[in-house]
Amino acid sequence: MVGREDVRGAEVTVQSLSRIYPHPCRTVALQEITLTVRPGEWLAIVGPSGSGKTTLANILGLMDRPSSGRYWLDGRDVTALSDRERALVRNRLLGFVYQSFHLIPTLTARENVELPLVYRGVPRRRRRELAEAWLCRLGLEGRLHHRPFELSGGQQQRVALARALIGSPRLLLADEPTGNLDEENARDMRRLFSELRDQGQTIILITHDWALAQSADRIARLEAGRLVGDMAGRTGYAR
Amino acid sequence: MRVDDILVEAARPLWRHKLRSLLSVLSIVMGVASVIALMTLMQAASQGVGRRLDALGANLVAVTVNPLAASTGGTPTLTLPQALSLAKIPGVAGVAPAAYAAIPAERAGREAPVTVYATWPTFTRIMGYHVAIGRNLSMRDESASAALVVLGSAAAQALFPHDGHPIGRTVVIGGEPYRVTGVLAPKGSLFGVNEDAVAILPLTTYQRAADNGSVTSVYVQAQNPARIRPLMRELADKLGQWLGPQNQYTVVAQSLVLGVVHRISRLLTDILAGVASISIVVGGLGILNVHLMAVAERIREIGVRKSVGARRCDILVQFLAEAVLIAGIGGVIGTGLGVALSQAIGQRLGLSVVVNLRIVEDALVISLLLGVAVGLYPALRAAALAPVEALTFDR
Repeated sequence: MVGREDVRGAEVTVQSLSRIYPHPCRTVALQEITLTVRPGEWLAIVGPSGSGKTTLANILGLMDRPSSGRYWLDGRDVTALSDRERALVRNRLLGFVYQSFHLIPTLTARENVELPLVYRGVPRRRRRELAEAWLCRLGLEGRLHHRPFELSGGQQQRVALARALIGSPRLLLADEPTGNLDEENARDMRRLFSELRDQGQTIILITHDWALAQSADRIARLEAGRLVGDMAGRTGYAR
Repeated sequence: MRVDDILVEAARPLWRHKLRSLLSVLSIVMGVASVIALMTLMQAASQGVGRRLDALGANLVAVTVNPLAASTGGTPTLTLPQALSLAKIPGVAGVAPAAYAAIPAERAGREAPVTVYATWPTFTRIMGYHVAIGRNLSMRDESASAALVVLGSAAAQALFPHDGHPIGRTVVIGGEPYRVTGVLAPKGSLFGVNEDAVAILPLTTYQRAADNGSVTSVYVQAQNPARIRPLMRELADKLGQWLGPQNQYTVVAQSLVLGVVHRISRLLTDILAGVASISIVVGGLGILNVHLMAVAERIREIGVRKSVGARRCDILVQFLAEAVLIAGIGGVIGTGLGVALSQAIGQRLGLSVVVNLRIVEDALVISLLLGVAVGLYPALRAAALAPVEALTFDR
């Protein structure tokens, strides 16, 4: 369904990564996280609420900065990049899918999908072609001009996935992508992630959905900001 | 981000929030239109007065005996020989001695209020009148004390509304009959005085009829407008010798009046422009308010845009472009409205309105700069939002 060519997933390495929020009272969200995700590997990060999963996803997605530790993306240290460089990396190398979809309500499905390419300076016609192609691949050919409020949860999540993938990211980050979906749509999403992994896409998935996590190659477990387990998924391997 | 994308992204929220955008645009439209209309009308009024005074001649000096002083302080009057001797002062190109009175002119039961100038034939040239029909008075008429009159266009119209050609007809002024020898071309009003409601008679004819040989005014034409002030001093010296203290007479140069009028009109224009500018500033504050609200409403959107790779400058430019677009649209519409208003009001007031492109350019540039000024702060706030905080912002 998600047919792509030449997908080359990124290698992700974090070492002794910590995130401390000093305000309003000192909170340690992540503590000494050391982790490597190989190119084309699908890692699921599970853990109870408040365990630091989303904080880790935000740091891996260069949306937030760690308080200490290092982060390499494809061998390049991205820990101390400037805001401008981080924006460029997010645009060129990363794709995000969120639980609440985070689609812009005033844009149509196609315009939402085009968005990363807008900031890449891709001409309008080319963007449209690519966005329409992605939406068609994900079964949304009849929803190109619909706004998010006109789409079901599953359709919105597929639009968000198309937006994440249109820029051919090296790393796909997904934070609870099935959290707001019914069982049938969640199953579809699992299948889509499996296809992406099969095409060589590196995926880091934050989830409560045990069935989805089990589809991953590896499952890492976070508790109170610490990495307490790292095991093979149903199809993968443990390190 | 490409320029066409910046424009589309800037226009999209305006289209989305039509009423809000319309009100923001309207606030700028009102400000710009009022500035342009006021400035254009003030300029037209000022130029109109300037043109009239120019037509009188920048080299005209009017000498007038103070009628109150003359009536209360004995008999310091100016005689015709004294008035004519002013022509011998170096730098004087010509003089027109005159006596004037506000007496109605009558004909066949019709009455027209006119200012009667009893004067020499040089008067029309010095005062910038042109004879439209018939002929001007001549020195022969003056010498012969001929009972002739040249009428201003309004006076002729009032006395001969349907009778066509007034030349050769008779009108009665001060109980004496005068034959019409010429009609002047229209000149308009100056400071509220209708300069076409005039009747010009030979000076000697009027003096004989009134049994008064004095002259109340002398219109002096200077050879060189740049030498007006020294000439005025010399005229004042002469009049001082004949009439006594300074309050017995006045010596006024049209060029100086012109300067005062220009200064007053420039001051008034500046004051009005300042007042009208306040409305533009108020419009700008409206845009600022709307944009601060827009940033607050769109924090999550900003987070989404940043998550897919928007840089600070992309967000800054997007929000700034929205403000500039509103101000620009308001500026263009306001300019059009201001021009139309000034034309309409100018027509109603009888002003010859010529739109000054400089005012239009300034208004457009100011409205765009205003857009930048008021859009910058909200845009900077939007751009400075941390991606993760913006994305997880909970309203």
